[in-house]
Amino acid sequence: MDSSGQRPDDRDESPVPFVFPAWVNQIPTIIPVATAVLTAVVVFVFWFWFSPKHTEVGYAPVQPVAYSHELHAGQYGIDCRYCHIAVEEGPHASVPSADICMNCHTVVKHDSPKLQAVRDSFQKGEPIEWIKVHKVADFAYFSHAQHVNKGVGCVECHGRVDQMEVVRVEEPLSMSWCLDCHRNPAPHLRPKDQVTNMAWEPEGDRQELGAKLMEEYHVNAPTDCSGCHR
Amino acid sequence: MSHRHDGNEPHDHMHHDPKSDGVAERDPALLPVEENGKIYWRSADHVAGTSEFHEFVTREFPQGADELLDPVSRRSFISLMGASVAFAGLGTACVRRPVEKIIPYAKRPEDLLPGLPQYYATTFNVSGMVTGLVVESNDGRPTKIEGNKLHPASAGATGSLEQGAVLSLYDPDRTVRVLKGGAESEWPAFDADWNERFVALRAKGGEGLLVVHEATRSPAHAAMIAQLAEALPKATIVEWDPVSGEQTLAATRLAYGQALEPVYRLERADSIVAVDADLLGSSPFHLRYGRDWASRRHPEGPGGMNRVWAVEPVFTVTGGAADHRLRIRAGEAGTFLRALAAELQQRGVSLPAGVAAASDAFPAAFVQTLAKELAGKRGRSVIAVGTHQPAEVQAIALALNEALGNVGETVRFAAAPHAPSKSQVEGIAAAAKALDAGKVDTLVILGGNPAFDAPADLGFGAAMAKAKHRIHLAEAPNETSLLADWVLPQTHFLEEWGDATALDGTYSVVQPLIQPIWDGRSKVELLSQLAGAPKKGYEIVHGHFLATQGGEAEWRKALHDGVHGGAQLVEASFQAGAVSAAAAKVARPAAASADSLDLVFTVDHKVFDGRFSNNGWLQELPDSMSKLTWSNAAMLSPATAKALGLETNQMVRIEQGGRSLDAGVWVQPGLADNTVAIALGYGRKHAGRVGTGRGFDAYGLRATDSLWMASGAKLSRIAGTALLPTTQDHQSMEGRPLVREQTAKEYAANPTYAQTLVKGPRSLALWKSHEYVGQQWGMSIDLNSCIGCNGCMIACQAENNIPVVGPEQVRMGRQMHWIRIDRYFASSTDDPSDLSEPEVVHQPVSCVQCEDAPCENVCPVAATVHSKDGGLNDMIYNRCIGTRYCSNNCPYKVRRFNFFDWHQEGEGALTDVSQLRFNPDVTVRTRGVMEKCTYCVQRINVAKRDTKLRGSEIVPDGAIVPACAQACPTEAIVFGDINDPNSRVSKSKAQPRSYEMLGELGTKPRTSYLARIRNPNPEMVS
Repeated sequence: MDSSGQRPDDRDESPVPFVFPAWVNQIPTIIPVATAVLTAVVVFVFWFWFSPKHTEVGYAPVQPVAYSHELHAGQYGIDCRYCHIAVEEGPHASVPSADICMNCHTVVKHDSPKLQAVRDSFQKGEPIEWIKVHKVADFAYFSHAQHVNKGVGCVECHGRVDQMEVVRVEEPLSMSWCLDCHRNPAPHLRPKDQVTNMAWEPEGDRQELGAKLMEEYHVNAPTDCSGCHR
Repeated sequence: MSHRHDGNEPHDHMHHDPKSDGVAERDPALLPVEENGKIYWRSADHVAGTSEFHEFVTREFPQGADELLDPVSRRSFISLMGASVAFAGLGTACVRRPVEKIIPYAKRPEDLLPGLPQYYATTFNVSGMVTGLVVESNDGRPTKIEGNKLHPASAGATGSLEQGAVLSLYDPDRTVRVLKGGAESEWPAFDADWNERFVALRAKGGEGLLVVHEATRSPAHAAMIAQLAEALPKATIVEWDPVSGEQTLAATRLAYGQALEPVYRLERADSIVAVDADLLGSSPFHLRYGRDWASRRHPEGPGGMNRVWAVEPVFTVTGGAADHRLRIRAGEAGTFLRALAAELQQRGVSLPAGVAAASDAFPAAFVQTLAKELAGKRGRSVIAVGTHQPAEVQAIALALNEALGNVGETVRFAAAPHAPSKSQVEGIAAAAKALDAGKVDTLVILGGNPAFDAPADLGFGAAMAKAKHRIHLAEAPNETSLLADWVLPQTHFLEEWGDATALDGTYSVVQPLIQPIWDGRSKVELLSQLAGAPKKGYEIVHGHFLATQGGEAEWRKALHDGVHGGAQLVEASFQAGAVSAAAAKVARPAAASADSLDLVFTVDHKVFDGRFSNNGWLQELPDSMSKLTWSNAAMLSPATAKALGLETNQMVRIEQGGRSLDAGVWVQPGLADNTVAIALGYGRKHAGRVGTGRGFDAYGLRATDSLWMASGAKLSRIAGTALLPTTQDHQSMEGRPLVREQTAKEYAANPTYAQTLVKGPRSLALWKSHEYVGQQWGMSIDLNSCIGCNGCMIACQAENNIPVVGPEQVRMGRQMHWIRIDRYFASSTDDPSDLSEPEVVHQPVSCVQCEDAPCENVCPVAATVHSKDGGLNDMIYNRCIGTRYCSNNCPYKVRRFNFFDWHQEGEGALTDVSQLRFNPDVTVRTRGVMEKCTYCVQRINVAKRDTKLRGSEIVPDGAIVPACAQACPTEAIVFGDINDPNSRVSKSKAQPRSYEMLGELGTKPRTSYLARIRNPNPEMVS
């Protein structure tokens, strides 16, 4: 430095240049690695925890009546359609009205405290407010009738309900999950008379059987947007 | 297309100042297009090439429409958005969807499966218009109205009023509870009050009781009135409707000695003469007449085409469909008929003495050619006169039909047991007088709105206040309810039991689709209560049926079919003498001039007499001819407007008979000169959130002696501008041959004219075409049958959950109708000063489902793509990000953008009850999303589902009917599989007059049009 420009207090010290510590040399490596890891974590968090596979699957709310599918559908083997009456004709499978429960429960367990809500509903005409478990997005139009009449078993989307004490969501019900089947329905088809049989196992190759059923049932699963969105 | 200017070229507007005025530089591409010796134009602005029109064409939406204006500025909106995004992030970071409930029935009703619609037959019965309906109910909510094929007035079709009824049912401004003196009350309080009053009234035999009710064609209602008259013989019972057909009943009393309803068979008529008669637009049988008329509009069909001669003061739907149209003054209808009679007499038609009277008021060629044609078609013509014309004038037409041998062939008569014994006008006048004199103790008004719509000279509202007790049964509180001390909720027809007879006497049942939402009572129920014997509507109607119509089995069948028995036609003998005497009194009115105008009142086909004012769908529907929405106007012909120095949107004061009204001017081509026409039913002061203050109250000018027309009206300019919302220049497709027409003669000589009009190569596709296998959907629209009645527009609105945007937004071109009807005027000159006598062509335009769709290529997010099955141009709302590129690139201008969340704000904002109207099969769109016609893909999917559940793969022809085609009275819209050569649509498209609109662009539209074929009398064609 030019001596004429020296400040008084600098006069006695020799100029020591600032030296970056050695670890700083790692920064060019750390930043991209950290960014990559962080990105991976963020992507993973959203991809996994925010995807229907995580947000939907496993949902098992407590219902106002402690109804057990495991008991009714599993142990007693009551057919799904005894209660879900609209499944073969309409878009909704329909949750049974209280009078369907009372068909049996006027005789069976007619004084069980667990059934108080059902009896009240039947007598007072006030519906039971069940909590919706399986939910397809509002902007997608789904019809049960279209599926069960084409050999898509209940178990394909709902899982082994006959083994569930409390109904839980087994499949993500997401668009890509729907499309997986719509693009290749064969492995998800079964004979129509086995649609409500949760324990059915195909004899022989399922893809082959499915291909045969596709032809027999005129299965033509739409992959156009307007198939579901309208 | 070098001359195309689209919204993405804003520079165009930098050179063009929209405020400079007058005539902009006339871009030849934007001027009316000339074809076949005619020019086609939409408005005077279009012909003149003014900047307003230029603006509408060159920008998809006018200046400022795509900017966010009120109520939040863009800046504050962004800051609000930022905040809400931040909150949204915090609030929903833990992603768990909200808990939703499934609420099943406690006891399921028989035959009802959740999610599957049910259909019930019922009847629309408003002020003498009776239409059989089949109503769709979704989980207990009536959502969509269709016509009943078995009902003679409907034949499966519906008009806009029927379609709009579902919205009125869920109107949040209905009478929701009993009101006493404006305070909330309950039915038991009213019942107790009435019981007390009834005892007092009965002691006096009913003296001091005045009951005002609306005309109705309900036998049960008539029976209850009779029961009331019996219980309280001294009570006065008066019938009042501002719009009624009582002049027709008077005419038949004159000519046949009994009240009859003429019923025409247009399918048998070769010549139809409509003298101030809107047969196809507003007659109680207009849907049926439309169907029958259209059955004879196929040049290739059997029997040949019919010919319509319209002679009228205002441009009606029938006038637009006519082959010949003559403008006359409203008061000259009788003069015209007498002049026609004179010409007929000269051609050997024998008429009662005194009917014929030559006149030089009309073009001789017109009257002579018409007379010659009619004389040669005895028994195969119809001469109809508007039901509002004086009885004597209508009697002349009856005489002409008799003389031409039409009676029994094309003109028949139905019994009219509902005909009131007294004239309505005299009745209401006497009632007002009695009220004014304080002679009425208890006034009961069943429905209606006499304080608003009774003749202005009666001062009914003021007189009404003099009654001690005033009871009003009202569907929605209106101007009359404000003056009543008891306001009682009335059921909507979808909530009540009732019955009705159609114009031809066919009996039909009104059955409820839903329990009364607001605990209302029907008119028959209240009448039974007034008579001291309260009964439920079902008991009354069912009981009356068993007593008069048939047994229990017939009743069950009537409920299922909606109709019972057939037409009640009668033979009647013509009384020539009486008609001679009456006809001789029909004289030509004194001349009108710009200083002494004829004032004509018209019935609006949207708000009707004002009762539908609070219906947003109807308010927003553009008028068939003027394309006005949300308002009426003082209509003037171009020549009269010029003579008075007036222009559209200027405010004027109309003065007539000591009364005056301030209204906005609308220059309407095709209107009679020296006439000011104004539609009734607007200018409501207390209609509700949608209808209050829309338009101008023409009832203020209407007096007992001038119910439909008056002379000597004066117009003076006053300060102010009306800014009438209209859609006539919206979504314009520039100067290209969009509508194509020929005369029958030209068609015979050159049938492929329409197809070959556009010469030169088609644009080639840039991409490989889709492969279209299986069933592929297409549509054919016959411009020859389309009468522009708007039935399709509102049917589409109801089916597809289309929102209402309000008048301010309509002015900005933001209306949402998926199907619009472009009304083109055609004239043989482009001189803007002579637009008085144009012809009209209507062209319904919705998405044409291009096979090579320009919209698909520009969507950055693939929100609009093509479907393999059916070949539809799919629109996927949940993908759309609102760039509006697709709309910009659409040559047909059929895409609609949700600038706002119309369901949350403005005139169409939802309430708890109004959201019940939605069709559950169609997504409700929100702000920022593009939408358009889907060919009713929900109906296609349902038909496919039903076909497949039956084990078949091919949807049969006719199983899919889009909402527009289902409503159409004239069957102008045909839909089906274009891959099946035997389908109706393929056959329609195979006709030589089938053409593709803008097909030269290479879009390969799935919707094609059949050219209009006019059938003028060869002697009238110069």
